[in-house]
Amino acid sequence: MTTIKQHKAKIKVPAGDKALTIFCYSFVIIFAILCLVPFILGLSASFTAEVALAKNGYQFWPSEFSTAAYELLFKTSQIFDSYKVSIFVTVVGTALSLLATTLLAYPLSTGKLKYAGKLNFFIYFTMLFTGGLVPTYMLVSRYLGMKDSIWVLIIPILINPWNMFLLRNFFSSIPGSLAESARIDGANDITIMFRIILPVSTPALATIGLFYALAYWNNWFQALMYIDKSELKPLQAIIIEMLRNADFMKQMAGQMGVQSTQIPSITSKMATAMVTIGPIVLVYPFVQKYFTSGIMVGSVKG
Amino acid sequence: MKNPIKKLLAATMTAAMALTMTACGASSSASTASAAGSTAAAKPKETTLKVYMFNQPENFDKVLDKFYAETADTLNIKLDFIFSDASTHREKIPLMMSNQEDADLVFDAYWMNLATLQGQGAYASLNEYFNNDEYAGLKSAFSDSYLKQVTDEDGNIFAIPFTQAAEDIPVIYIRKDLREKYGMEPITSNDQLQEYYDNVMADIKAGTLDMTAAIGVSGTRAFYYLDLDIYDKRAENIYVIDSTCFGVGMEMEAAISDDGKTVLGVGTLGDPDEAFADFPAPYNTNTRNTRVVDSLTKWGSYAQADAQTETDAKTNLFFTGKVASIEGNISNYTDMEKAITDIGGELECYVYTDLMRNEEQIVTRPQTAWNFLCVPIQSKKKDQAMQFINWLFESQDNHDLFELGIEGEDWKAVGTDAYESLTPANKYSFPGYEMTWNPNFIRTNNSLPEEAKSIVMYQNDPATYLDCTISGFTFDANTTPELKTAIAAVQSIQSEYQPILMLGLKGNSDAAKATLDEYYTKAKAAGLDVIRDATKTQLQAFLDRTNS
Amino acid sequence: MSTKQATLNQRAIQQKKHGFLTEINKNGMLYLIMVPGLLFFLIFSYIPMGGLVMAFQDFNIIKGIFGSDFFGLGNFKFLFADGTRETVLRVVGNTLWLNFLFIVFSTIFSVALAIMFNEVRNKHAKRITQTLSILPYFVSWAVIALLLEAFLKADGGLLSTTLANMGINISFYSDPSPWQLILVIMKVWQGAGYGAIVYIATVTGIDPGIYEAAEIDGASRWQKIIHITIPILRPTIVLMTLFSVGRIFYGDFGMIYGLVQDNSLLFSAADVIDTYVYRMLRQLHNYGMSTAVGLIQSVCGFVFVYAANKLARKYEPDSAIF
Repeated sequence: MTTIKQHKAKIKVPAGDKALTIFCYSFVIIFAILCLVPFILGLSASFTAEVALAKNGYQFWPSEFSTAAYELLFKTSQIFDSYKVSIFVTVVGTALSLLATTLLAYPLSTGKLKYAGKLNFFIYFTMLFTGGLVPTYMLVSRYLGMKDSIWVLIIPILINPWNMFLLRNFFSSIPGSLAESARIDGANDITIMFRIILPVSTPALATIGLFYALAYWNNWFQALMYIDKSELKPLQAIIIEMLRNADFMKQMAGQMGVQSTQIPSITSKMATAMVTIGPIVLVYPFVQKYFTSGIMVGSVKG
Repeated sequence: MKNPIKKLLAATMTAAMALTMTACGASSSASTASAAGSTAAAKPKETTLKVYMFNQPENFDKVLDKFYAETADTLNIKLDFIFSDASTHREKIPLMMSNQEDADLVFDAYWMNLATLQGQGAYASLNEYFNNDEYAGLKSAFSDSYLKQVTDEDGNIFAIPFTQAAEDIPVIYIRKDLREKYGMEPITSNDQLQEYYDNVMADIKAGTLDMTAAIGVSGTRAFYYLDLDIYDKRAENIYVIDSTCFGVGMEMEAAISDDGKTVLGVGTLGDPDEAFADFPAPYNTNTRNTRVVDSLTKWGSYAQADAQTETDAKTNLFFTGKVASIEGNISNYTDMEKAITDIGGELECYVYTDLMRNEEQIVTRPQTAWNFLCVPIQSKKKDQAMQFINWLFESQDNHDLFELGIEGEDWKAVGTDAYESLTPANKYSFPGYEMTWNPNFIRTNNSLPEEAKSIVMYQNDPATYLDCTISGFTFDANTTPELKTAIAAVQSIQSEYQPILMLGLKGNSDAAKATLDEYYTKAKAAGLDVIRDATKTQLQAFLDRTNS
Repeated sequence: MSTKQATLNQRAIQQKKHGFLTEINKNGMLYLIMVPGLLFFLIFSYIPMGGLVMAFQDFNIIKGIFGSDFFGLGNFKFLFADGTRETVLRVVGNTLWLNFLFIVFSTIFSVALAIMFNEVRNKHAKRITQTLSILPYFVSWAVIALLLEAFLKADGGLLSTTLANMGINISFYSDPSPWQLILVIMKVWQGAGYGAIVYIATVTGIDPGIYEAAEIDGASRWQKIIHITIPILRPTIVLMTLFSVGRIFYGDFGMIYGLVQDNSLLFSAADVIDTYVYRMLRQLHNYGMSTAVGLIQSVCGFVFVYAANKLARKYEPDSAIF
């Protein structure tokens, strides 16, 4: 196994490589700035007084500082309840999803199963064809009785076929020789999976785990459909409800016989957006730790 | 959350218990029905009603607590209100209905799912509760003529309507401070309004006024009624039938004979004048076409650029001082005034419909209420649900508790028909149009300026309104597959052209004419006439039924 | 154990009994651990799929799926109504074209970002830029629309004012021509950083030994990217593309409706199947019709992905889906 340090201790860098490095640095930095700028504009807007925002437009620093939007947001304890729900769902959901996905992806990756092709198709087919809202709602709500349970935010979206196939491909890129040598030592499939394959797959598991975590954090649809109790509503559901309400009211004004004047202002939309992004962004740097060069030993064939 | 397994278990247990309890409830409901009016009866068993609405109220719990304290011995009803957002509500209620889910009172309206759900039999008949002496509150609040609009062809009352008056007077809100700056008298005509807009636009152009436009528009309503003669037409028995209860482009105008027995003709936007030939003069030409081509084009040139993608609500544009005027309803006056005062301006409104400005009588629409509560057929607690609504209208005090909050804390009574708003830290607010509005239980906000107050008094006076010949008629979009197909197809075309037409084409009437022609050709090919014929047939059937 | 047998029996219906038993005997453990996952798909995907019959029903909310009347192809008619043909062709064309652009540009940018992140050796720079690059993924389209408006709106938009000062007058919200470009840019901006994650994991996992061997042969960094990194990423790229092809008939409703809304002036460039159908049915709220549209989209996507998968099997067998 080679370490990064040795890799670095190379002889001098050719000119072409230098140019490439400079290009890469600038491209990545520019892209990062492009991603950051709107975020800063939004953050600044969320701390600006509504009238000042309308007058002066978006600026990098609030033209007239105000916390009104956040005060409105934190007026009730709802946001705190919702944070708790979101964190629980993200943590527990990601763990369960990773487990279920791995148990499915590993056997399919071994290339040993006679029925692997059929099973792959069985799973892929669900990505294309869905029954739609009515039968799903009936199943989850009536037959499984999961309405108003925190598990409805996890179980019905437990395995994402997309992630399953990604993980399958990760696993199958691990050279078969690793498993073979263990098999000669008498290990069975399960032992091989836990002892040999998973330990060298941390980057892959971290990636898929991250995808699941982001998906759980961002999911609002389950909550809007199946959760009535406000103390079980995750953060995104609260935000989406607000935005959707505003949109609907705008559209329906005149058809309702009442025109709502309580449509959330731009500043409060921005404030909610900032609150939702919140902690999940911090997950990424944490996961990056696992993206370490060389861990997936000889992951490349040939 | 500490112990999710425990929670799951608890949830399953509750579900199982609820099942057994509802089974019992079904058999005992008959015996509790008579308890509605009499306080002498023994304390009824506690029931919990599930009520589905949208728009979270503020500080609702204190009102619920007061309600529980007052009615523990009489009703003993607990209320489980579920508030989602409007579009989730619209999406979820049909799912819940198809699933026979537990729900006792559900908000619905024609702009939600009422037509579809009622048409498919999702809502229970409420006949036994209205005009029944045991339900005195309901009797005093809902007259027979008021209930006509929620009675289906078999005579079943399928919803409880909520409205204060038949109209919420449409007005144009303007800035009094600006008007005075221009040395103008209070606006009393469309010409003066235009002058005001011209002044604003000139100032914007000169750079002396920091605004983006004279009128702020968003959504499709824009300045819809401006220069439209729908109120005058009603007096001539010409009514607007909205085949979708949604947009404004697919509205059909139907003329009814003077004896109220025959449909003379049905015309719509884009039709040649011949379609209106049988309409009474002077409405025997297509005035909608002229309005789109001339009038909307004229007003459109005062609206902000990019009006079609305006991401902000027009009220917010007005509140932040970006525009000098918006179209709205009189019921928003208080909110508007507060917001405009906050930015250092002064509010004023102009009633742009001649009939209403002159405070003349108006014929109502076929439907006077916009908003309703319904009892789903699967509800096992229909009696208790209606007992609660009955309680709400049993006295002004009961009603005011839910509409305005706690007396002395959230509001103060001024006489018997007005109130003054108080501002405690935990101020109560509730979307009254979803449950409490009723013509017989109105309290007017005493802080309204004279100008607005007189408009509101006129609006809320029952004598303002004349009954409509086709009162209670609603269009059923689901009668035949052909009709459904036609509506979907025409709607796709309409949704493309309507915003362009309704938001005005910035002073270019030739372009407006060309766009209108394009729309009409496509809409006609897609089945506009199917909708027209269905409107005529359904309306004629309605007339035959009511006249027999 | 009996559940497992039952599930497996189903799958093996055409298999010879003998072959099936041998297979179970050999790999029983592997099949066993798949049972929870397969059950998940059976319950949450296949059972509701029965609801697709609604596409052929005059669906009644109270009668439900089991009680509603059959209706033939009636629910499909509204898509082919006279007078809408032109529009339907336009939205189908837009959907395919926009999705094609999205697939191509998102892939290019995600892969490029992943490779470049890898070239960034400074640990802090790497961590910060990577984290920032996924920020846009968390902002809902409704909020992005607000920010986009600040750049593009006719009065006072940052970009439109700058362009106007340079003598270029574009009224972004009434001129459809730049919108496909705008949508592609927004898509790349919002999703490239997130899309790169999957490639980053692979790139960083590459054994440094391979690079060193190449270096000894005198390969430049550019050559290493071309000859080592990209070939390693290829199976993942193909797999990701195959997934996208399956959904090529589905427009990105959240994004397009969020950014374009009901602005019909832009429809010629930005209207896709999903936004079109949404507008058609938003009043009718007809489940039969919306199921019918979804069914057509799925079947067409299935045909496309089936063909694409065939190609993949031939040229990149590792990443064929099935």
